[in-house]
Amino acid sequence: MKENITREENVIGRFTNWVDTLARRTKYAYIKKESKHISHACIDDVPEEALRAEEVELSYTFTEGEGKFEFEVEWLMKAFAELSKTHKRLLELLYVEDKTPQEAAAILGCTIENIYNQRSKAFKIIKKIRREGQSNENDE
Amino acid sequence: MKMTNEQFRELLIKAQAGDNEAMTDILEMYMPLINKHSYVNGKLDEDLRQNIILEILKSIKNIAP
Repeated sequence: MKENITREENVIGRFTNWVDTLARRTKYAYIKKESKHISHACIDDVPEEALRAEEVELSYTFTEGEGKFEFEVEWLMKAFAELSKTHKRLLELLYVEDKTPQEAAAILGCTIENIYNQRSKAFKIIKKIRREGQSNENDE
Repeated sequence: MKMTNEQFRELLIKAQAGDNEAMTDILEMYMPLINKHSYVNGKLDEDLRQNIILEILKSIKNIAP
């Protein structure tokens, strides 16, 4: 009786999603806070623009069992669709699979600096699409 | 033993009412997910894990059972 299982009744599923989102947000805030205090050797090699690119916040939630993730904001979903396969894979590795830049570099077979550069480029594309989306909204 | 939605709802209501045992049961159930999010640079960060647990303890009252 699949039809009878309403959203309200799926307490475990809702709670799991809630814990997942809460843990992600806590981790994001924790890393952001810690990065202000810890100087990392690799950070010296990161170009200025890559560091500024960190200002873009990616928000997404997992859909259990489907192996895909859903964005909370529509513009981000559109922007993500515009990215190349490499950029999509890179952002998935860094922000969905929680890989470090070092691990992502090993998986994609490139240098760590290239990971930072490509991430910066991907964020620039996302920012550009966001600006375009905002200006379209203002026009309307 | 797999818990049903109704059993979990009861456990959640107890935890929200301040039942420590129910809260511990829920945390134990979700520890693998908490641990998964507690890794930074491939290492388990105990402070981060504690932060996540504290956030759950603080916010669990706000979720509708």
